[in-house]
Amino acid sequence: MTVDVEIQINDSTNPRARFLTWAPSPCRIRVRNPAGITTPFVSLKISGRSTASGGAVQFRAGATGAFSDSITLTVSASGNTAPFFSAGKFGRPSSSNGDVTIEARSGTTLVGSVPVMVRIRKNANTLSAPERDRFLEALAKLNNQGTGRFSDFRDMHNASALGQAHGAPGFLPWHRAYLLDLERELQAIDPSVALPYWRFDKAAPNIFKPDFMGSSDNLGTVQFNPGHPLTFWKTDTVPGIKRRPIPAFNVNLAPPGVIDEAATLALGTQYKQFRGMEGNPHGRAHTRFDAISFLSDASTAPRDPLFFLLHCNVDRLWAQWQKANSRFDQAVAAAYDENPAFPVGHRLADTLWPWNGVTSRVNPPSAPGGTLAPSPGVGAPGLQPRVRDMLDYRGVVSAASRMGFDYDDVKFV
Amino acid sequence: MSKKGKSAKSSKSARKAKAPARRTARSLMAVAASAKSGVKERVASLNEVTLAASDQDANVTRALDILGNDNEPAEVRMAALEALQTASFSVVAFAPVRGEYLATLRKVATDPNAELRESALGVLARNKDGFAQQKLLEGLQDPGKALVPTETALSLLSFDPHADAYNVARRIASAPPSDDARQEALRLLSADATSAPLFEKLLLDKSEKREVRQLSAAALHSIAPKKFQKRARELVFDPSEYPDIQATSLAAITNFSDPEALANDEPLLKRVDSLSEKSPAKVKQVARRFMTKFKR
Repeated sequence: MTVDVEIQINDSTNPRARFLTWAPSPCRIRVRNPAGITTPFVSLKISGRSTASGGAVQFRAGATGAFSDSITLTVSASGNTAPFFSAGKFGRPSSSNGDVTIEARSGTTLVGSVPVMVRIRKNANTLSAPERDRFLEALAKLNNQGTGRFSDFRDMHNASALGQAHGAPGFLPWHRAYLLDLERELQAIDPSVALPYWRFDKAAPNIFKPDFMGSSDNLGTVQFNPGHPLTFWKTDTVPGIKRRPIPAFNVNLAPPGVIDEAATLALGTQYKQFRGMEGNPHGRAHTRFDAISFLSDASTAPRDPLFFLLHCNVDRLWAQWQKANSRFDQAVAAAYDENPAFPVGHRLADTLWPWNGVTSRVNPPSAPGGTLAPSPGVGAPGLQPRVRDMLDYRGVVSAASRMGFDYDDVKFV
Repeated sequence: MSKKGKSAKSSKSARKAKAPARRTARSLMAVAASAKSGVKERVASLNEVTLAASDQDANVTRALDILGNDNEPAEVRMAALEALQTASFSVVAFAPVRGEYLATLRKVATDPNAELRESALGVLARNKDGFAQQKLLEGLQDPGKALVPTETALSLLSFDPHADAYNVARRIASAPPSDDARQEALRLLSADATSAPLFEKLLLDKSEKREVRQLSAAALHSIAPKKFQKRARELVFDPSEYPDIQATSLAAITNFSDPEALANDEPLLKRVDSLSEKSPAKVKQVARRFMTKFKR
């Protein structure tokens, strides 16, 4: 019998919590079996081992300070846990679950290890085939031909619900919660899935191919390769997806009339200015599809799965803007557009519909889907998030606010 | 001036040159609404303008005026419609003008310009507008009244499928004016539970176009999933079946059948195992996915 240690990711022994982002995750290590240890403490070196195209991780001993490829901790032999922090190394996200392993060594002897994933939202246009297929399969399963949990997500964004999500400052926080809820449901099906984004200010031809989001025929019916998981996609009782680019939009190029990332970030350093992005690029990206397309109207847009890639990019742009202007703190006036005159659901202290379950005169008549899906690895934003809970998504202001997602091109520091 | 100062100044002016000042919505709409401006310039202004916030109501009204004015060039009106549709995503801010927007679209729905008509009817149909649905149905019943091609009308009616539309779609599916119209009629019927026998027949008919059989597979799976699963299993075993249809059938079985029943279906496991070794690429790929999921 040799010494054996247990490594806890996100302070949990649950394998479903073994996912990292660029933000520091609290971890712990403890001696589970002290066989062979003759001293009260043992020195353990913690490092990461990646597969050829796997993610990469880094470590630090405390809540602050620089990260490094390995750390050495002095751990009690009595079984008490010792804390440390781990994070994905920026630029090295995982491509599959467990493609990086966190190892603990005593001297040169491996005494404990856990497989982890640096799970990051990536550009859909450059997703690998296995990543793409896992996402599509999970999405198809969530839709389950119109009978699955996806119908709640469709109902959260129908004509009667749009006032909760659009045309006021809550637009960005509401959609962040919406995407996160959907992503967590997908992860309950396949934990390796992260939502990809459609970078609509760049050419993204791979997204519009029949092996991914499908290509449009002359009738605007989206065509998939035989056997594609979304072949049986169904919403509002009708199978299939209608999507046809406007004549000026060649899907091998960036859509015309949509302002680019630089122009979006230059809308202003105040949230009040930045939220103008709801018109362009957001609204413009939607209306790059013609009259028969689901995407070109707010009430039908979620019937097309491309909607979620589009909105993932909208959220990424907000994340870029927050990072560039340090706008994670709800106490900073410029981080949000707070005004008591705004409708319910759009003020910082308001809980967000439908997760709050409130149906009333000012809310839609039903609240589909129940509370927001929890995560095995993080506690935020809670089951009934408020507008203000959605700002500090990576725990910059308070580590407890970390929501467990990140973007491949938004650095933590 | 120091060298450092000079370079700082020049890089600042370079940045300035790179990012031209954004024109205000008001100035853009002034150009868009002016008959003195060229058509291209007016379209460019409408493509650039953001009509999102409530304090820009005057600009929204200007855009509505352009859209509803049939003396304006069609390209400019089309650009105004796109700008307004983009603004409509800001639901709360757009609410005060929404009624007027829809009323203008109803007017444009009968415009002489085909693109404008189709776009206006598209927005209205997605909003389940009764006026638009009535106009579309009338056009399908009497081609002399048609505002858009048959297939487009059927496609737009599928945003709110209902009995009247099913009756028209059934008639068109049995005597279609074109392949496109037939396909859209079938697509509309794919929400109609009473059409299951039609889709079952089309799915099994090897002389049918592949697109129609694929559509029938999705439709039958949607309205009679058990019946489709049974047929899909048969198609997987049929050595003379087309690869596209086999791949689609196998994907449906893989994703939607009862996993426990599948894992115990020895003949199916054996058949799919052999397809995963020897079959056209598109079938092989789905067969391998199936085996990864269900092999013991």
